[in-house]
Amino acid sequence: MAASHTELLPEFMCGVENACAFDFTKQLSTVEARYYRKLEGGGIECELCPRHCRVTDLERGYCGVRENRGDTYITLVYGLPCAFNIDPIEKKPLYHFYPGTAALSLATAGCNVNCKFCQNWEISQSRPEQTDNLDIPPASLVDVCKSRRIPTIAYTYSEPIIYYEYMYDTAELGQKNGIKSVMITGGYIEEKPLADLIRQLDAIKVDLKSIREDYYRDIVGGELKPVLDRLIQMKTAGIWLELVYLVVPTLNDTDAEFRDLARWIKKYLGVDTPIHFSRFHPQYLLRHLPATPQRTLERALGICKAEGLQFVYLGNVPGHHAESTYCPKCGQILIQRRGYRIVQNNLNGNRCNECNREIPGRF
Amino acid sequence: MRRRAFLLGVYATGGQVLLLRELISSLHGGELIIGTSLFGWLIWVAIGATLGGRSKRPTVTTALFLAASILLPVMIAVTRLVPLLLTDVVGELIPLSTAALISVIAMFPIGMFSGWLFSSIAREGSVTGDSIVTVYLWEGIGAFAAGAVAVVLAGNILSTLETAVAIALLVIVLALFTNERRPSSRQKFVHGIVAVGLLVVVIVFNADLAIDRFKYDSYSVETSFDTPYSHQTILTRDSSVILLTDNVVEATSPDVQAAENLLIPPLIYIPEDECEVLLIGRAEFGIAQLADSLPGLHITAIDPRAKLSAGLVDIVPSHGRVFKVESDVARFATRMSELTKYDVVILDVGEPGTYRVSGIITSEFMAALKLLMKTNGVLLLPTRYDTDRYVTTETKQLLGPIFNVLRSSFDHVTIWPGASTLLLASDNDCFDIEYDSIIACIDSLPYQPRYVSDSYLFDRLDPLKIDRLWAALNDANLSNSLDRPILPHYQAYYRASPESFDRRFIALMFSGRTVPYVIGGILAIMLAATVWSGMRRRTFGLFVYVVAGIVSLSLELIAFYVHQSVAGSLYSEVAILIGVFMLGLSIGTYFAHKAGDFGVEIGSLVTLLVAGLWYSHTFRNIQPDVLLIYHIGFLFVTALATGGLFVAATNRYYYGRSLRNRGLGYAVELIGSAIGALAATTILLPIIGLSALLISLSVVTGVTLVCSIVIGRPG
Ligand code: SF4
Repeated sequence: MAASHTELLPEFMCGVENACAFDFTKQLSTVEARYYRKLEGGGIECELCPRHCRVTDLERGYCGVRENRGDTYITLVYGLPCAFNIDPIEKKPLYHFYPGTAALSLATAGCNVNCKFCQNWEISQSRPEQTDNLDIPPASLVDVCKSRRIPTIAYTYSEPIIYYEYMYDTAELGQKNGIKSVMITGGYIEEKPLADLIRQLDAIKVDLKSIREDYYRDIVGGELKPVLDRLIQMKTAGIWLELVYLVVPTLNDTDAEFRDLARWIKKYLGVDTPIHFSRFHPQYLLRHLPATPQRTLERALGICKAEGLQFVYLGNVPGHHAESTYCPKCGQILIQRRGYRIVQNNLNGNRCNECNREIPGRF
Repeated sequence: MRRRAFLLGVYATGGQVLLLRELISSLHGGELIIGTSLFGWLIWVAIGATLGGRSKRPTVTTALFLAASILLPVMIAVTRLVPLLLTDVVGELIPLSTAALISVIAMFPIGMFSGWLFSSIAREGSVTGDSIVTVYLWEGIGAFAAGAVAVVLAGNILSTLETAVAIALLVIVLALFTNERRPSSRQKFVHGIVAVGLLVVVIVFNADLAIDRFKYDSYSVETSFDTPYSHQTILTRDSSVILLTDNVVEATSPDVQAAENLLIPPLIYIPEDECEVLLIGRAEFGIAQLADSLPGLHITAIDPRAKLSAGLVDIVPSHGRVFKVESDVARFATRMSELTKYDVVILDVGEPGTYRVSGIITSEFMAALKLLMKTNGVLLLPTRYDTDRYVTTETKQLLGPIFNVLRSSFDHVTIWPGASTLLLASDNDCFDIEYDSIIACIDSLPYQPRYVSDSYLFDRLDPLKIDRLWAALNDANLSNSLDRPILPHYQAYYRASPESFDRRFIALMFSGRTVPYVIGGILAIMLAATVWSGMRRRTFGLFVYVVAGIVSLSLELIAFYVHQSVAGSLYSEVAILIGVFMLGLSIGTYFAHKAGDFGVEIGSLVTLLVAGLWYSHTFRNIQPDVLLIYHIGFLFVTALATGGLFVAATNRYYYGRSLRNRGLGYAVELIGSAIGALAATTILLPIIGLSALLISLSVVTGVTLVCSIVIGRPG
């Protein structure tokens, strides 16, 4: 079997020992982490995410990838991705960011929350010594993109915030070499590190898991408030932002939640912020919960549209009108999608080729 | 007294098997907890009997029966609701270690009451001149009756909960009339009120449905019932129908993606327009609807749950083009292999976390399945493992053995990575097709798939992903088999959180083969200590106790395992298997006691040895149709010998001390039984395999036999 969007990509990408240029390694990194402070009387406090883990010598923070070594905080996963793919950008999903292009996608072990439904729990809830890690320093990632003409690097799957340094350095180097960077995140990060990072990135997709604080507490193991604050910060900073809301049956799928979500987006992010409703599939701790019915997604779509949101998408429902982009002014189909394929593109630059209305995004 | 003992047998065994069924169902269908449940049962019965025996005043057994009877349906209901207490979300996974702990605790009330009642009835018997073995014999007869009744009722006519109520009602009524004295009108009134109350709860309020409605309060519960294979609940929400089997989502409708994933990939490799498809699983949830759009397909769907088919009729629209066969697949394969041959076989059997599914993913089963396939037929084995973005060690551990089973059974195997990894196998060299040809083939179908189409396949079948998965699978060297079922343990490992106790425990189990040596070492030390101690002839009795416990419980659990792996109907038939075992134990005990001869020890050991060896030579060749008879016979003989061995051990250890308290003997016996219950199938089976386990048990029995002959009679 052959032929795909990656047919330009040779065997070095396969992530398989003996068959690729990148080797697996058992070594963990010892690069110093950023955003921490030393505590009086010993120990450090991590200031990267709102957990603010206090860590004594040789202990790790909650995410399992940052360790105190003699009161120097180090990241154990710098340059050590355990997942490495070439994905269509639509798979992230980013629908208003260079449609039809590919993104070199990577992740390391670890996460700063513990969602019971995590799709990537096999790596996100593991420690780096429990995963098979490739040795790929930032420069190599950028070289790969350049030589293979991949326009974007996506920091994705698990939570990129916990491998901040690796992401930051790669994105910075990428920027210098014309390679774009996108972060797929839960948005559970402190203000300062985000502000610094935004300058290196081109787009962010945030998984807004619910609009209820108790859901974040019970199902996600985090907090909603900091995430909402960071969303506003991203919007204010002007970086391209799209949202995903994973609809989990019985847990975050009431009309009231969809309405509150739509109103919050409208008020703080604007009606032109794209939101994708995606289907839950039984995963991780919620393996015995059924997948989301299409009807539920359509309920969410209807409510958000009624509240005035302009770009509302349904994920993984091929053939549905809500997987395509329409002009909010004239209703013309702008980007017709089917699955991860772009069937037609009626944009003229970033304008509707029918009514010339400007469409938000990076095209 | 004999009637009361009989009633106790009905209550105790009825309670034990119904609770066991309920635990398997409520804890998501895994049979790994059978050993821990039996262990819990033994412990609580022993404690109950000890406390009952020590109480100063003899207990009024009629009142005790009444209280115990009420507890039986209550405990079934509590067990069904326990997952709600342990998790934040209904449908959340329960770790194996937690499930094992629940299975021990859940046995507490019924086990305690059963033990206490035994002591009380034995005391009554001593007044009327009946010996304890007579009480035991009648209890065994009652146990057999309960097992026979439960196997007929539970799942076929009544649900587990309704069967529990039926047994409770029987006990409540009969407890009044098996008393030596006539019941007072107050007793009749109280018993009558309780009986009516139980009936009202079950019939008027439809307790099964009410519990499921409480449990799944965010859904609309359409129906809830038991089949001989499982507990079924059908839910609806947002126009979607959800089929729960043992509280696990088996299928949802509509789910076009799942249906396409099952039906389209194998069709790509079958060139014929007309195609015979055998689906092992349910067709109502998508396959039947797709078949309507694919006129060349003739689908036969096989599933043994006839009651489920009836239950789905009004909920999921029926489709006439699928031919339904209500039979167990193993039985179907043996019967139909000469008659029909299929182009495509789809094994949609769910995750291999149970013995039933693990038994299907074996080369033994594949050999039977191949008899149903045409020479160029294709088998599809869908899995729920995600290999889309990476292949983790845990996924490799599961997919590797599954892949190896197929590779050893078929000439050609191929893989489709993705969120649900697919394995396809055939004896025909049909899998070497270019991507473009795959798409052309899909495009030529009369139905245009939405998910299994170029829109997603260009990403899913990316060479990078295929190479990565091949590399992972080619690394795997273990296989799953009837002899060494590793998948249920690997599945438990996979499901557990990375830092959890379950992971550590299972990793430790598989990390080295230390456990068998440790158990063997303990036995050797015990043997040496008892044989060479000062009063060796007597103390050897303690070793006989241990051996009786270990060998009997191990053989019982091995029989359960084989029964479930081959026939898949343990859920209903465990009742008769336990009933027969109890009957055999009591008859063995009774006659050995009557005989009172040293020859019983040797005779029992020889019988156990022969039964174990005979079993290890024959179990693979038994057809599923006669497996129940086979296991009934095997367990009866094993229990008969075990009962004899317990008496022999008692006669030896307490030789000349007949008035002595028997506590030590029973405690040692309990240790042996606990080792058998906990270690045999739960720990040793996936490490050393069934053959080695049976040989080990034969060696232990044989060594004990030789020692028994060499040491000679006590005294
Ligand atoms: S990034 Fe990790 S170590 Fe730092 S606060 Fe968050 S969870 Fe703790």
